[in-house]
Amino acid sequence: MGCFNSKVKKQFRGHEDPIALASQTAFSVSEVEALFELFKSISSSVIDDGLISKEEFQLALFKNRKKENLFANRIFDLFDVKQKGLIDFGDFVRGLHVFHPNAAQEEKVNFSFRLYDLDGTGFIERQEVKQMLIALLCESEMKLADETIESILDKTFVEADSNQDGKIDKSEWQIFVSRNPSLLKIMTLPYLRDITTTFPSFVFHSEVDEVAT
Amino acid sequence: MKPTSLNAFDIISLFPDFVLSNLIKICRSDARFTTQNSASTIISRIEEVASMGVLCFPQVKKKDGTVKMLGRKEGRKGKLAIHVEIFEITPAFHVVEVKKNQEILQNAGSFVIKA
Repeated sequence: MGCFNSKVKKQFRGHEDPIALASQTAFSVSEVEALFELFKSISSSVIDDGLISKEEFQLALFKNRKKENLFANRIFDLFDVKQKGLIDFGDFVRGLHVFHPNAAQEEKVNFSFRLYDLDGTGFIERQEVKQMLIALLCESEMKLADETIESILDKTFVEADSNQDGKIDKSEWQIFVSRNPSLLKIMTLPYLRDITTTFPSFVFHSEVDEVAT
Repeated sequence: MKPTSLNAFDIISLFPDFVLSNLIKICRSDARFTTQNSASTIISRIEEVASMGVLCFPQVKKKDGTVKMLGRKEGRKGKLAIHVEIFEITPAFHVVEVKKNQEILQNAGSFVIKA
């Protein structure tokens, strides 16, 4: 290739090379560039350091940097591969890649398993599923009787927990998901296909324009 | 009509605004909300809305907790199609998912169903 002009190199200095990221993921180079626009706005929102902190992540998701959310926490941790408490551009692109419609099923299955395995023990425990249900109900200001929740859990574990040890292991999850493919719907964000039209401002302009954005 | 019934993970994934969708600040063409109305109330309300006002849906099909509506007017990219699906968590607690296709009427405002 080699005709990546120096203006672009300057934009990406300190971050992973978009061409490399495109080759590792389902995104094209221009899509990676569009993601960079999104990344820039999120990572500069509290501290302009080229990295997304937990607070900035919360701010982007909920318009409230103090808002804690079970799923947001888990996703942040899964994106933060190096466990530094900060997400860099490479982490961001590779994390979002899993949600791309063209990402491999296997990646989505793995990610969803780790998402629900809240404490990272390698098992999705009944208590964790209960915790997630309650957190969601709380968010929507809805209440369900404890018995109703318990019976939903019973039904779920009868189906998913084939060795009936009270927790779902990776292979049980794989089987459960293959029987219920709709469970992976959350692992795809179809909008990721349109990312270049959503962030069309990525054009190579003069210094003046760069400052204006 | 019987809406689909769900396991815990179905429910988790149904809840409105699953986290990452907020990250991509796009004008979403889907909406989801929770309601304590019964399924039949929800369906009647949808039919009511479908028959009134500027957006007129002459074709409404119902089946198994799903309502599909096809608009009459040809917009810039074809007809507006709206797909509503109702998920039952308990008989008094439903999640309603509204999707519209990419074809948008030239002068359409936003289509909102108030629960």
